[in-house]
Amino acid sequence: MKNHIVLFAALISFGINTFLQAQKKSDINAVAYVQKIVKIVEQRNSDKEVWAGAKIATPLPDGGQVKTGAKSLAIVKFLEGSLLRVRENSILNIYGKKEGKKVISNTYIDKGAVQFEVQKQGDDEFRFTTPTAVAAIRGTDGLIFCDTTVTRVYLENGELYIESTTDPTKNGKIVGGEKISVDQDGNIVVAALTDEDKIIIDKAKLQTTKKIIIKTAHGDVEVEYYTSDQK
Amino acid sequence: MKKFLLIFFLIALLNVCVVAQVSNYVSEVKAGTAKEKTPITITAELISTENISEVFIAYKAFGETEFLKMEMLIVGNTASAAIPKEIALPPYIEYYLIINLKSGEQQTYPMGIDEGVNPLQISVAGVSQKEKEILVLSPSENETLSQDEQLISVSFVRAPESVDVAKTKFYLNGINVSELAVIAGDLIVLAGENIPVDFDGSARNLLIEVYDREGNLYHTINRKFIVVTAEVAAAIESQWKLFGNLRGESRSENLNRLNTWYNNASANFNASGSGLQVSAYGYVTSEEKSDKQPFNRYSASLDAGDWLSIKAGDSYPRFPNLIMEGKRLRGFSGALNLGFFNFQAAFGETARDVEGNILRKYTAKDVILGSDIIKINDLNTPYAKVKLGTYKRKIFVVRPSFGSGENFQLGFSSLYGKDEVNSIKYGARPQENIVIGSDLMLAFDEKNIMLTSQAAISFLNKDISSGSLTNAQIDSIFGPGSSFDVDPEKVKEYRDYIDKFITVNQYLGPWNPQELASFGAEAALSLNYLNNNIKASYIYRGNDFHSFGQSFLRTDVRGINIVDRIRMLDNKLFISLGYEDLQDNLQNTKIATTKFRTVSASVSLFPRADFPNITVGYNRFSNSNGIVVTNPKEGKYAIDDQTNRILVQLSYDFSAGIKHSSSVSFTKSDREDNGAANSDAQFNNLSLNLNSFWDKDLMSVFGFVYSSSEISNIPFNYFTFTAGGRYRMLENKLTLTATLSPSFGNFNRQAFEFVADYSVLKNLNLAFQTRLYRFPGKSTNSILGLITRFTI
Repeated sequence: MKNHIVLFAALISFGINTFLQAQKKSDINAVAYVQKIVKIVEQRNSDKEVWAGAKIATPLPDGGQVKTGAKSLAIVKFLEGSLLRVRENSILNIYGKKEGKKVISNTYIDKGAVQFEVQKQGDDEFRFTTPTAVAAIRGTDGLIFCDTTVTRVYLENGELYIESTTDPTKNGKIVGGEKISVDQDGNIVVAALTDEDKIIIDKAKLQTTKKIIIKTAHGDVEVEYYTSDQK
Repeated sequence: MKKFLLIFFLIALLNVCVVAQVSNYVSEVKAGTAKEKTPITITAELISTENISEVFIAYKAFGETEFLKMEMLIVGNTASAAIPKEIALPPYIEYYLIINLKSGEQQTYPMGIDEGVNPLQISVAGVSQKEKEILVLSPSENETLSQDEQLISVSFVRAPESVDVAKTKFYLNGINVSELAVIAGDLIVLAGENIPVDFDGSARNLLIEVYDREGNLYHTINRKFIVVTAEVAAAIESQWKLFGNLRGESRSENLNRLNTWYNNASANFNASGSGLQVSAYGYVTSEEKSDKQPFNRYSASLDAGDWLSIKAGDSYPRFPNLIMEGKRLRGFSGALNLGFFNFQAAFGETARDVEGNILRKYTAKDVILGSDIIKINDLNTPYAKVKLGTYKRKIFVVRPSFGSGENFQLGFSSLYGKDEVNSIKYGARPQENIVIGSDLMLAFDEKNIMLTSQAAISFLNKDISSGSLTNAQIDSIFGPGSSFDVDPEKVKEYRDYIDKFITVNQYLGPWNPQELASFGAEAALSLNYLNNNIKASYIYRGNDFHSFGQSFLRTDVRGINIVDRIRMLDNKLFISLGYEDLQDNLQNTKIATTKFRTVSASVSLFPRADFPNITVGYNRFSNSNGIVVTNPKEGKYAIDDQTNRILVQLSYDFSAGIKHSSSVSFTKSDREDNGAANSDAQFNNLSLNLNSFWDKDLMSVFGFVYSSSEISNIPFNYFTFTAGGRYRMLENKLTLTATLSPSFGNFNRQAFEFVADYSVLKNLNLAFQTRLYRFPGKSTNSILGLITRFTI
């Protein structure tokens, strides 16, 4: 009997201890997570139909999506340290896998603008895919924006290789200080960044918000929103 | 472990060793944390600052050929400098201070570097591979977060299979918060609203412990960050970040019965935002005198990311080291980095005009020869012996370059410098200098293969006071039947062309360009594979190479240098080997060629566990010019000496009731000089330091130094005890620090230092500092100071 009591106590103790020590284990195998959100940011995993409101620290699995609304911003960070600032009215699809020591990250942007700071590490690959182009980048930062007809990339540093999705024989390479555009017909145009382009890149890095307070008879309503106009 | 501690202290107490580190101008030198590829801060506490004109730090990594020099910033009685991160490489770096006195003399710390005294060493710990395996994605170091946006995220995407992600523990300000963690594959996050906020103050210390599958501690990571309210965080993020401080000091120094008051003030201001950083610094001191080089310092800078940097005021522009490095320039400097094309420039004054004065006048009949005898504007006594003044010297440096420097960069540098002849009345031999150079960097395979090279040629005119040669002078010197049988018209043609760049007269050199006398070049190939970092370099510097942008470049030397740093056990163990073979007399300007051979070896252990960091190093320096000392004709020029040096350093943080931080350093060198100087020398030094942290308010310091040297049979032995402590009281508003250090033996001195630092307001501090130096039977010197610091 005494042995049973000791065993029972030990099991209880082990159980409590395990409960106290246990960290919550998510079913998600994250390739990225949401680091910051401003206003309306939603996310869904590949097996879900419905968009759900994203929270800070939401893990994003392979196939996860992030959507930003008007005057909104999401910062997504990948596990190898690369960072994307998803601007307003954008949809970002996230893909990632590990092959040995190599981390392969890919994103698909339906529309919108994403400012990127991609880490350079070993043989890692980071790709942006849009309706009109595929861009491979390493150790690079800049701005990519696209819609169904054209993709534009402004590159601050590093190198970027891009090819048309409609005609992969049409491709181009740019270095820091240059910009490139690829349209739906595979036409590629390379040019140097202008001062205005640099201002656009700088504004895309901003992640501060503004607030408006609407005074009503029932009290003040505070609305926080993102804007690249900081005046 | 107890046994080990006992042995540790026995080693410390029983060794009988030495090295003279007595100085009239430096009371203490402190080195900051020394970690690979991180700048290392060196601060020196100065005494008798009224006699000091400038302080330089000379530093080099293990196995390197020569010491690089950099001026230290003097504020009050503290000189400070940061050794660049490129030099901070395991196993250790060596350094010493060069103190230039207003009298024109020079002293080093430790004293007697030129006589062979050992420089100071700092062990440099390597970066762990584990720091690349386990990535703390958030927060970044010293990041400011709002309470509701607190986020701790750690990525294990690069961690080896042996790491058990689920066993990771998180401690925030010492409290275990591991149960808040959410694991999502290779990611662990601790979300904002769950993280406790009921800590005192806004500072957070995060400790992350990573374990392997067997439950053994694999790695620990520390990170500091700040948590503020959402309103404060928004204000910080949306606005420009401003930081500044003001500092004022009034100090009285009584040295050898001579009392001197010093007053100085400094202001520092930084603002950053929108990708820009603006900084301004000013330092004014009562030591500023028009008859000395400047003591005041002021500067302003604007940085826009990595692509634009502009500085005005005092700065230390860095170009390829044959062109300019470590030299203070008052003017403008800047860099524009566009990637494919980059441009760097500096323009300003490296010496200001300081007028000389007449000591004695001579008639034309009585005048004697001398380097300080000049012609003056006086009819009866047209010559005078003078204290020579300093000409205002201005330089202009440009370096356009192509390539970002990631894998390729080709640069072209040009320096033009000239003394302003009319800037002073009583001076001699104003000079003019041109240096033209090129540098190339090629890197492959993520910089694991790297080739760097640079070459430069210099032209120096050692006296431009009389200007370029006149036509009449050329006609009298050149032509048939004259000193040089060269067509004078050709000479005039060349003069007119070269005169556009530099003054052409008999003082323009080099005269033997075909012998590469004013040519400097170096090339290095480094390979980083299989945990070996091998660097092989070749250096050539002619005896007549001069650059106004360099004060200390070693010339008349050529040879090879090979260094191999072998990393083992995840950068816990370093074995470093070096070999250098140099020689001088490149242009046959000396009676014989001296060969300088150095063999270096070092083993360093940085266990990152409950065991001391240990560095053991050995150097052998052999210098010989092949002349036999018994040779009746040339024996007096014989150089034949060998120096053996052994270094042992141990540092250990341990708990024995309370936390202690200890270090033991032992250096022994022995020079056998069989040359004409016959300057045999022995230096031994043992130092022991123990810092004990009794509680959060009280820390004690104990130190012991035994030093003995013997140069040419003249011994100099002393030992110093240091005991002191630091105590915080009145809710950390008042910090008291006191140290007593008596020295005995050939150096007999009692030193006492007391500092009281009181926080009047959150951003206003008052500090009272006193130092007493008693030399028994001689004098008692004192330094009393009051310092005010205001932070905005």
